[in-house]
Order: sequence, then C-alpha cells, then structure tokens
Amino acid sequence: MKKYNTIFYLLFILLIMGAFASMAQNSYGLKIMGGVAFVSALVFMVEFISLLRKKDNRDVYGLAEAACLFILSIVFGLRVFYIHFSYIELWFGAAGLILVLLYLRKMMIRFRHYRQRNNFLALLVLLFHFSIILFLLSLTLVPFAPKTSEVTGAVALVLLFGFIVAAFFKSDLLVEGEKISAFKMVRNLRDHSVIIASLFLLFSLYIGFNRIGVLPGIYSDEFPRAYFELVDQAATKKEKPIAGKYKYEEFMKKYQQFLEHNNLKNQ
Amino acid sequence: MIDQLTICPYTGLRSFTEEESLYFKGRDLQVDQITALLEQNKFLMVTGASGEGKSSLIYAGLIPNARAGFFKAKYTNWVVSDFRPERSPVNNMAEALAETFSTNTSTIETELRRGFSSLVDLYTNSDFYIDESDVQWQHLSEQEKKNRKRGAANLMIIVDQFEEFFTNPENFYNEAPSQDSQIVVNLVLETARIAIKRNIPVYVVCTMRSDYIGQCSAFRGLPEYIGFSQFFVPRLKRKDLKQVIEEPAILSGNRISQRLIERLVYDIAEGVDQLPILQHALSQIWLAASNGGQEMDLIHYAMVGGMPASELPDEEQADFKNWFDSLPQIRQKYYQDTGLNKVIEIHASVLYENAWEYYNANHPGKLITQHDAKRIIALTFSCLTKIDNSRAVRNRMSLGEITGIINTPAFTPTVVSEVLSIYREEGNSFIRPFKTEDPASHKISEDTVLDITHESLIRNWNKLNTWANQEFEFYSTYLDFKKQSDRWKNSGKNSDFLLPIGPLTYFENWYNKCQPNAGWIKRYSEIQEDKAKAISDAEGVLADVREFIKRSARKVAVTRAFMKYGPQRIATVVAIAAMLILSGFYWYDAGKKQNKSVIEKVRSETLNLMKSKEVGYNVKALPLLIEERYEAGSMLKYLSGLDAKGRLSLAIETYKQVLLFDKHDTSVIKSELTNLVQAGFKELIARKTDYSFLMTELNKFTTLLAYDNYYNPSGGTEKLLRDFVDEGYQLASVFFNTKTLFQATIPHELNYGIQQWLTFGNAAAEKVSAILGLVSPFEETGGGSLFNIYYSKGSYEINGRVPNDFNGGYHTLASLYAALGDTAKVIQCFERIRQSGQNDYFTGSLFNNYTNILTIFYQFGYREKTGSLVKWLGTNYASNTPTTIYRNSVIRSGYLSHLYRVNINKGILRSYKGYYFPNGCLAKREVFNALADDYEKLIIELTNTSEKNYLMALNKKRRAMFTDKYHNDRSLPADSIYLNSLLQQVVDHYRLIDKTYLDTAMTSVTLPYFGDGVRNRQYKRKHLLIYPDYMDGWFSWTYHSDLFFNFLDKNKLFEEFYTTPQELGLIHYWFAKANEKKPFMDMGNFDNNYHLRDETLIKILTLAETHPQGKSLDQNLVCLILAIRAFDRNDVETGMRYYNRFDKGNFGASRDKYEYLEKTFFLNMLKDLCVKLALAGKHQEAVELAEKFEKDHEKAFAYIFMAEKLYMKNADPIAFVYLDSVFSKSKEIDFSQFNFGANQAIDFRFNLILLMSRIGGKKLNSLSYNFLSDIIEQNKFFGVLSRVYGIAEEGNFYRALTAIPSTLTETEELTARSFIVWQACRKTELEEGRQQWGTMDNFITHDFNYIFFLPN
Repeated sequence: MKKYNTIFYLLFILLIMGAFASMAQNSYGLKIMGGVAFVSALVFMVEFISLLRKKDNRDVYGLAEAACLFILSIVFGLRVFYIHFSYIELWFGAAGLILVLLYLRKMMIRFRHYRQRNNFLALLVLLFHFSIILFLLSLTLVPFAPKTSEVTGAVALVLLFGFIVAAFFKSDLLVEGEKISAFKMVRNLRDHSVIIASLFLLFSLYIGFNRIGVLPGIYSDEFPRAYFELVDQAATKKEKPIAGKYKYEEFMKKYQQFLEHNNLKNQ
Repeated sequence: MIDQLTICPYTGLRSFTEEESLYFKGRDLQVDQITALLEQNKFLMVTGASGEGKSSLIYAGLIPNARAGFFKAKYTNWVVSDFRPERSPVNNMAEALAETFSTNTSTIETELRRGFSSLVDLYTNSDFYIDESDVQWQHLSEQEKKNRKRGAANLMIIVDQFEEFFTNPENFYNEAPSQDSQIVVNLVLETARIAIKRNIPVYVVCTMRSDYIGQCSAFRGLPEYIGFSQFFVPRLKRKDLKQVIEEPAILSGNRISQRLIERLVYDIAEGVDQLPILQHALSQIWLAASNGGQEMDLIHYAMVGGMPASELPDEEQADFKNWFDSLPQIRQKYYQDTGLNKVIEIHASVLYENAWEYYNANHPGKLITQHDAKRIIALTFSCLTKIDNSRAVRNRMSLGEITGIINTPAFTPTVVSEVLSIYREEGNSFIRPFKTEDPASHKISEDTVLDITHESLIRNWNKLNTWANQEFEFYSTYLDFKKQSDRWKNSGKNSDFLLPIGPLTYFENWYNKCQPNAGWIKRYSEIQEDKAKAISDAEGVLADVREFIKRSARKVAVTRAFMKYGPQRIATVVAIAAMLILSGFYWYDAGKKQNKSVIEKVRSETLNLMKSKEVGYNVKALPLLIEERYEAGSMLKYLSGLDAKGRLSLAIETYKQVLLFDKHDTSVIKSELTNLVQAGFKELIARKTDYSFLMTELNKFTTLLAYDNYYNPSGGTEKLLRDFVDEGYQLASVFFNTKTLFQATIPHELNYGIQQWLTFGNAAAEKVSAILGLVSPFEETGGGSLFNIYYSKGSYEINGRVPNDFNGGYHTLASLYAALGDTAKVIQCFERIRQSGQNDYFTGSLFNNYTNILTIFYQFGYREKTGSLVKWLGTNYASNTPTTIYRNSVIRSGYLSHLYRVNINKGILRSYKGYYFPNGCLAKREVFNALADDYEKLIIELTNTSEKNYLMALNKKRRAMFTDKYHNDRSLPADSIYLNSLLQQVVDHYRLIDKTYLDTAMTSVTLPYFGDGVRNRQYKRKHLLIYPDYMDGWFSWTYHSDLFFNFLDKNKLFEEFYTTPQELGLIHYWFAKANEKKPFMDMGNFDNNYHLRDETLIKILTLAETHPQGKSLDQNLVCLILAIRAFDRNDVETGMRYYNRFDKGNFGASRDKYEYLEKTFFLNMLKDLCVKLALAGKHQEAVELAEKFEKDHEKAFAYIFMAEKLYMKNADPIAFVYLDSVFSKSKEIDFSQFNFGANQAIDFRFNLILLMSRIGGKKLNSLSYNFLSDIIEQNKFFGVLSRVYGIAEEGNFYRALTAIPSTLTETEELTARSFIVWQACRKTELEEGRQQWGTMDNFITHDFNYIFFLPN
C-alpha cells in the first residue's frame, strides 16, 4: 500500500489547494476536490485489483479495505458534485462499518504485538487506532445520526491529539533494543491508517478553523445556495423523504426544467 | 581443590604472563634456544608471525627460566624492565625503568635523553650492579659485600611489540623514525653494545612481528643486531599442541576429554593465529564447561561455535538442542557457520549484540539503545585498528580521543567506557586494559589508552575487519579529498577548483558515511605536541571540508537535482510547491473575500464616499444610520469627526431620516442627534458668520422638532423647539438689522422662521413690535426701505400652487400684526395683497393664506378682534362668508395635515412647493376648539333650519373625527364620551334636516389622490354626512378612523342612514381609503396608522348580507383583505373561504372602482393573495388568480412575488415554475414602454433581478446581469441596487460588491454600498435574534414590495 503514498500525499495537497481555491470563490475549486476524490477512488481500485491478482496469500482484509475506501472516495466525490443517489447512504454506511471492523481487528493485533514489547507504545497504538475507528464511525453515522456523529468525531479528534502529544513528548520508546517513536511506528504501518488519520486531521482542522472563522466555508455557485443546503439536509437526515424523494431532487428537477425551458442550460 | 577448579588455565587472546608460566606448554625447546642466544649475545630479537606466541615465550618462558637459574648470568637475581613503544616510546621506557630503579619517571627520562649509554649508566650506578674493581667495593666488609651481592641482579630490558615503532605515526612518519623512536632504539642498541663490551649483565630482548623486519633498516645499526641475534619463533607441532591443550587443564585441576583434544588439534588449520584462536577457544570451552566444573568436551566446543551440533555424538545432541533453544534468536543466527576459527567471531559478535543490555542492566536510569551501543563499539574498534601497509593492525587510542571521534554529546567518556566494559571483562578480554579482581581496574579515565588485545581479533572477527577496512577507506578517501580541497584553498577558493558533480557525489557519500569531526581529522593529521592547537587545526580543516563540499554542491545544484531526482520527481516537487503557493494565495484571497473582510472594506469605502461633497447630506443620512446599526456608537463617532457645518447638516438630515423610518420613534438616537445639533448651533452662532446657512438649517430642524413633538409629545422636545424658534427670531433680527446680509433665497426662510417663532416661541409683544419696527412700512420707524429690499414687488415666494408676491412679506407682516391683535394693520396688509392682484390669497388654494392670520388672532388671545377682519374679507370677496372663513380655519387647525410633508421633504410634491405654515394645526388645541365654537356660533345665527342643522351636523362630525385622529396621531387616550356626544349631536342635527335639502344640492369635494393630485367630485349633502369618515370641501383627507362607522353600527343606524346602493357605496369607499397604502415610501411615511380590525371588515360583509341594498356592496376588496389576513394567521380554511367569496370572474369593477391609489392598492392585494395561496400550497388557485391580472407585466409581478416568497420561505422548487412563468410573460412584453416617465415604476425587471439575485447561483446571476444590461442607462441604478440587495441577501457580500459597476455616481455608489452593510446588519441580527431596526427595513424594502401598478 505504501507505494501509493506519494500519490495520496500529492492528492492531499491538491485537495488542500482545491479547498482553498473554493474558499476563494473559484468554481473550479470544488471540481478539483471532486477530482481528487475520484482519483483516490481510482487508486484504491487499482490497489484492489492488484491485490486480487495475487494468487497466493490473497489478503482478504486488504481487499475489503481497498474496496471500502473505493466506495467512500466515490461517495465523497459524488457529494462534492452534489450528486445523490438512492441508497447511497447505505453504501456509505456499510463501507464505513466494514472499515471500522477491519481497523478494530488491526488494533487488536497490533496492540497485542506491542504490549509484549513496550506497554506505553501499545497504549499509543490503541489511541491511534481508536481515533481512526471513531473517525470512521463518525463518518458512517453522519447520514443516520448527525449529532452522535459529531460527538464521536470530537472524541476521535481528542484521542488523535492525545496520541500526537504523547508521541511527541515520549519519543524514545525502546522496542527490542531500538529507540522508536510512536510516529515512526505509525509511519511503518503498511496500511492506510496514516492516510485516514491525515485526512481526518485535515478535515477536523478545516472544520475547527472554519468554526472559529479562521477559514471560510467551501464555496460554490454552481447551483443556488439553497440547493446545497437541501442536499446537506438530506445527507444529514434533517429532512425526511416524501414518497422516497428528497426535496433537493425536486428542486434540481424544477431548476433544470426552468433552465431547459428557457434555453439557459448550456449558457 | 576448590580454588583450583575455578582457575582457567587458558589465557584467551592475551599472552601468558610470568605468573602463568606453569600453564605455558609446548615451547620448552624454544625457551632453551632463546636462553642460550641471549646468554651469548646479550641482545635478542624474537620474531615470528603474529599470534605465534612471541610475548608468551618471553614472559612465560624466558623470564621464568632465567629466574629459575637456567640462564647463566653474573647474578642469580633478575630485574626485568619491560615496555611497549606505543605512541611515546621514551616515556614508556622511562616509566618501566623508573619502576625498576624505584625512582621517578621524569628523572629517568631526562637521563635517557642525555646519551645513549645512559641506560647502562643507570644500571651500573644502581644497587643491582656491583663493580668489583671499584675502590669502594673493595673497602666493604664481607658482610656488607654479602648483603650487596644479595641485592645484585641482572637487568633484562624487554621491548615488547617492537613493530609499534613502525605502526604508530608518532613513531614512524613518512618512512622515517621519530626522534623518540631513534632515542629508544639507540639506547637499546648502545646498551647491548656496552653490555657485551664491558660484560655487564644487561640483556636486551625485543619481540617483533616478522613482517616488519624489512622496516628495521630505518634504524641505523638495528639490522646488524638483528642479524647478529635473532630468533624466529616456529609453529607448534601436533604433539606440542596437545601439550598446550591438555597439560594446563591437568595442571589446573580441570578435565578435558581426549576427543576434544583430538578434535581441536584436528581443527587447528594451517595459517596465522593458530595459538590465539586455540587459546581463545579453550578459554571459552572452559567457561562453557561451567567454569571447569564439567569435563571439557565436544558439547562445550559446539556451544562456543567451534563445531556444528550435527557432528556431536547422538547422546549429546539433545542436550545441545535444549541449550541452543534457550538462546535468544539473535545469538542463534551466529551458529549457522561454526569452526574453531569462528569462536572469536561468535564470541565478539554476541558481545556486540548484547552490549546495550549489559550497559542498561548496569545503568537502569540512563538507558541506551542497541543501535547506539553498536555505534559506540564499531567506532571504538575502528579507532583501535588501522591499516598499515595493507595490514590491519592495532592502533592504541585514549578513551578521550575515541569519545571525541564518536562526537555525540550524550556519549560521554563514561558512557563509552561503560559500553565497552563488556569487552574488558574477564573471559572476554578483547580490549586492554582488562578488568581484574581489583575494582580500580573497572573504571578508566579519558587518558586511559585502549588497545585491542591481539591483532588476531582483527583477522578473526569479520565485523572488526570490515570496520578497519572501512575506516581505512574513509581515510584514503579523505586523503584524496584533502588534495582537492587544498588545491581549492591554494587557489584562493576559486570556484573553478570546486568539485565537479561526479567527484562531489563521491565525496559527499564519503562525508555522509564517515561523518568526520575534529577528533577524526586530528587522528589523521600531523602529530603535534600541543593538543589544543591540534584540535583547533583539525576544526579548521573540518570547516574547510564542509565549505568545500557546500560550495561545490551549490555550484552544481541544478544539474545534480535533475540527475539525482529525475525530471519526474522534480516536476512533482515543483507541482507541490506551486500548489502550496497557490493554496497560500487562495487562502489570502479567500480571507479577503470573506463577508467580514468585505464588510470592513465596504464600510471603509462608504465612509470615504460620505466625505464627498458631491453627495448630499440627505443621501448620507441613511448610510450613516446603517453604519450605526452595524456598530452602535459609530454615528456619533463619525459626526464628531466632521466640521461644524457638516456635522450640523448631517445630524439634522439623520434626525429626519429617523423620523421617516418611524414618526413614533422613541430611540436614543434622536436625543443624541438633537444634542449634537444644539451644540453645533451654539458653536456656529458664536462665529457670527453663515447666517443664511444657519437660518435654513434652523428651519429644517424646527420643522422636524415640531413634527416629532406632534407625534411624540414631550416637554423636552417642546422646550427644545421653543428655544430653537426663539433663535430663529434672533437670526431674523440679525438679517433685518443688516441689509447687506440679504440674499434672494433668504426672505422665504425668514418668513418661515417668523411663523415658527409665532407658533411655538416666546413671541412677546415687544419682540413682535421690535421686528415690525425694523421691517414694516406701516411703522414710523422707517422699515419701508428694508421691506423693499427683502420684500420688493415682483419677487415671489413659492406658496403651494400659486406664488406670493412681495416674497410673502405682507403675509408675514399680517401674521406679526395679528400676534399684536392689530386688526387695522392686518387689514392694511390684506389691502396691499389685494391691490397687488393676488386674489388667490383670499379665494384660491394657496398653502398659506388669510386663515393662518385668523388662527394667529385666536392663538394670541385676540379672538374678539377678528370681527372687522372677517367683515373686510366678506366685503372684498363675496365667497368669503364668515361661515366659509371659519369652516376653512377649522379644517386647517384640526390635526397635522399631510401637507406638512412639504416642509420635511422639500419639493416632494409636484405642484406644491415652499413652506406650509403650521400655525393652524400645530398651535394649541384650544385654538381649534375656539375656532370650532365660533364657527358653530355663526351657524346658529343662520336662518335656514336645514342649512343650520346640516352645517352643525357636519361640524360636529368634523370635530369628532379630527379630535379622534389628533388623539390617535399623538397616542393619546380618546375621550369616547365627548366623541360619542359629538356624534350623537350629528345624528340629532341630521334628523332635523329636510330630506330634500340633503338630496338636492351637490357639493364639490376636492379629494387627494396619488402624490399631489386632486379630483373634484360632486356629492350630495347627505353623502357628506353619512360618509363613515369626515369628507368635506377642499383637499379633504378622507380617512381618519372607524369612529363614526362604529357609532353607526352601535346605534344600528345603517339602514336609516344608507338607503340606496350609492349611499351604501360610501362605506366601500371609506373602507378602500382606510386600507390605502401609498406606493412610494417617501409619501407612505405620512399615512394614517389607524388600523381597521377584522371585526370592522366582517361588519361590512354582514352589512352586505343584512342590509336591504347590501347586494350592491362590493365585497371583493374586503374579501381580499380578510383572506390575506387569514392566510397570514396560517388559517388556510378561513383564507380559502374569503378567497372563494371573492368574485374572481368579475373583479375588474372592484379593481377599477376608484382611481389610482385604490387601484394600485387593489392590485397589490390581489398580488399578495396570489402569494398567500401559493404559500398555502394552493398553486392552482394562485395561478388562476395571477392570470386574472389584465396585463402581462401585472401577471409577471404576481409570479415574481409568488416565486420569491416561496423561495425565501423554504426554498420551494415550485418557485422555478413561477419564475418560468415570468420568463414566459416577458416574451410578450415590450420593455421599452417602461423606459421613461412614471412607467419606470412598473418595470418588473427590477423585481426579477432582485428575485434571481436572491436565489443566486452562477446561471441566475448571469441571467440577472443580462436583464440589467437591457435596462436603459438612466434607469439602470435601481436594477443595480436590486442586484446588490439580492446578492447580499443571498449571503455573499463579495459578489454583491463586485455587482456594483464602476460607472455609478458617488451618490449611487454610496447607496449601493450601504445596501451591503444593511444586509450585513440584517444577517447579524437574524443570527442573534435581534429586531430593533424593523422600521428601517420597512423603509428600505417598501418600494421593492409595494408595486405601483398604475401610474397614470
């Protein structure tokens, strides 16, 4: 998985740039962000295929992880472009839940491994993984229980900060004669933990800075602002569908009809 | 026995000591041989391969042999002085001799340096030597001689490791021996020579590796001595080896199996280091055999890695496996390759792996990592080895030097020594000095010189060999690098001599791997006595090394970057950098575009525009109040920064604006402003300049104060008003005293100022007389000349529709004389007016006329003096009967007329300009009552009963309605008993009037309509009486209250009063007027706020059902209003009920029933009902109703509002369907019809732009821009404002700001920007749940929401 890290970090920077471009009210900012999500999905797909093609020692858990991350990336991409399909939340939730289970398993294995070598490091392993798990859980819960999701996300952030602070101040842990910091341990993990944690940190920082007014909100004028708010309401379950339809769907339909009727769609 | 068992008879890598001679076996023959040689030659050079046991042969063979008496020498005793040259041979020799001769080292060293024979001298002068030829000896007694002989001893000088003269650079540099080396060698050789020559019992023994024989020629005379007496130590034979293995074990009480002996002998390979390897293996086997507790056997040999476990006998394999399995994995891996010569490798490597644990166990408080321990060991061993002529040899170095080369702050000499300690432990003896039983030997100091025990360790420990070779490689590279570096330095650090990319990379790799430091450089630098200078020089070299590499790297940075990383990586880095830079820029840009930043920018721009002289103060007032709304306190702050005149003008305008928002305003802002105005006046009056400006501003302010005090009566305002109008009097006096102050525009202001003073001020008679004395031509004081300046014939004062000649001067004089009760002079003034042909003053519709004068008589208590005046009016103008004069005066005095607005918004009315003198309506209430009373007295005197009752009924009704309105305007409690009694009198008088009288004559009533328009209508007398409000005569404001209507209802008079459809229609007209809303806010401010409750409206509908003529009553407008109100209450059912009652198929008649305002009102109601229906989800009905509008643009308005309200309420998508309908209607409309005149007001594109901007989004914003572009230039600003309003409301202030084109005037720019700040205020207040500026919002949004459907 590590071989894709360069691509991921490039995508990260592109994501940040896209976000800032969008904050600066450039319509292409969101397109960049959506593009990043789709390219990430593509990388996960490539990873999935390459894992699938391994005939011996096929890593089922790795396959599941790549598949889930692929789904999450796709859903994020669609969200960026404000595209919403039926049952998309279920896909999203299922992928998130599987990831939670996968990382729960990883946490247990790694905790056991490090507990024999260094108790403190084992504790940090627990913190780090638990933070990721809660973050994934928070993501998964967004469409179903937004408030719980917010609380879960906040706890995840506290744990992640706890991990960072502890790792920073206790950087010379001895494991089998080698001095190792928790950061180094995390860096050596051969899965997507760091990517997920980085994304989470990035996301949390954005949310935090946005709330205290240091960073402006992501901006798009592709559609009327009310449309974005309706999509958000649907995604966060603040609105219940009527006859299986959300209001934003009707909004978009009528909006497009209006544009088409007046030959404005392609202007 | 027990002690013996604990003795290890094997020495490991170190040589045998004299004390261990018991276990030194296998060299008996060689011992004899060297003894003989030394006996004979007094000099012996023992040579042999490394590890052949040269030193052991001397220490455990020769010396014990000599002491045992097998050496034939002069004395039986022996003293041995042995040393190694190491890096300071003279000192070492001196130390050894000092110990021997029991003196101090420095004395010996001084002696040694004196001459080469000094060593012999030392000996011969010591007690060890007896010179029997000496006289002193001969004189000694026998006992003394015996004692001396007992202390005499032969001297044996041993120079061990003679090759150190060649291997240490301190001793041998550039193929030449050092001075100290030469001293020592010459001392040795000379000693030997003298000993032979003089037969002195001094013997010199040197041990040296045979491979250094060739280099001995560097010392003069040495080769000869070597040739003269050399012994080459041979290799041991098989039987000797057996002895070496077996006998020490037996002698020490240990046991060793024969099969092990055989195996060891078998395993001893040909080649160098046989003995060290064997000795080391044996010592390890002894340890493995439980320190000799067990018989040393093959299993122990296998346990130390000497043989593979597979070759063990079967019965021992299981034991070995058990033991092996208990080993840590890291140790097990070393057993993959076994053999006798691997024992050292395994042993040293295991120590290397375990050193950190060993250290940490002893230093639990200061742990180090395995990596660090390994690094210390590797660097130490690198320091303790070197390559000499392609041979790895030992290199002694002090702990301090080693620590300096390791160069890590955490690794102090103590840490380094403790890490290395494991290699010094007994049984591990790899590094000297060894740890012994003496605890003092456990600690070593910085000066302690460390040394590898035996060079065989270098050859048999691969790691060490590798380190040694790597170190040599580092050194070789360094020499190469140094050449390049020196060349560059010698060129004056010329960049041409910097390293090209290839060598640079090579040397950089060297630098990174070697990590040279000053200590390391010093190691390879020239030897210097001064250690501090040596280290300082090394630091200088190191600095040069670093600079050379750095500058070379800088020169080829670009090229190597491409070569090193490749274009792909570089492109990635560049892309990342670009993205990060862009991100930074976007962040900065986003910050600037944030609403908060934009608002600050807009506010700053707004304040700049406020400074512009191009922008009027009337325009600046609204932005200033918005600014105050945004940040409380900013208004005063801004005003205090202005100059006195600007501050005064803007404060007055702002005060006016506050009253325009809400005439009942009670906010603190008003008092803040009035305080400012007061202070400003004081300041400016004190300057005694700008009287004209002051007069004008004062009039503006007193107008506002009077208006404010009317709607919000208070003692404070009244006093303030009084004070200010008194100031007006003072100013007028200044003007009338100074002819030069005359300006053409000033008489109007003076007239108004005097009127204000007369109405509200302390107009004492003497003051009135004083001013008359100045200006009146009727006075003897000669005021005529001044009158002619200010009020000359042919100069006109604007006074409503008709101007006043003489600048209105005679009206002013008449007012002043009236205040004195001087009727004659008033008549004189009237005469002048009449003579000048201004009959309109007496009969027409001038704003200010004779009625004002009559009122002043009443105001000043000269009511009884009006008779002659009324008579004069009747005589000269037949239409001015006394009743007419009084009726008109009563009408003017009833309440604050809407005409007063011309004083506030000058020029607001198309046809009426100038000042409307308020002395009638704003004088004390008693004036109105007195006038009304006197009017009624006149009526009573009429002879015609019907006429008398009719006029009386009408005046009673007038008094009731005016009083009710007056109280309502001022928020005073109504005196219902008094009012009801008045109304009852109306009914009573009405019933006494002859019906014919009521029905015959038609009375002309002038009714106001939009703006300053009037319509004359003919009404029967009865109509005027039964109209549910007051309506009469000229310019009658036709809505006051529901007082009369309720009275009729309460007294069940409807059927009596209203008998025909036409009469019933009057109720409808009254009701329409009651709901009338002005289309433009600047007029809407003067509306009556009297609200008609639902109950009243329902009564009208009931009347339509119950009254015999009720069917004729138009119910549409009532239903419209009731439906809207029901929908507003979310009572959809009731709303729909009234909607269904509304005659949708035939409402045109209702719509067109009245002119202008009522029609506009009706259509607005219709539009609002469409909106309410749509909001209630009754889209079919809403569309059906919208389509009932007659014209497409009217329909478009309905759809725009439906779309807008639906969208604004909950983003209902149906909004787009309605928006689509707007577009559909637009296709049929010729927009050019809206380009000019009042039609501009019905151009729905402004509302459409607002709607699309409110919805937002790229496409709609672009579309709204297109609509804006289509509007002609002179009308465009309202479109710009709509766009800014909508976009800002949508939430994006940056986009709103960019929607302001650069082509606007400063006034427009200021207004547009202030709209953004206004929206920011609304947004903040909405978020904070505040709502104290609703009146401002109503003021600003009124013209967007209330459509002027029918201008003309």
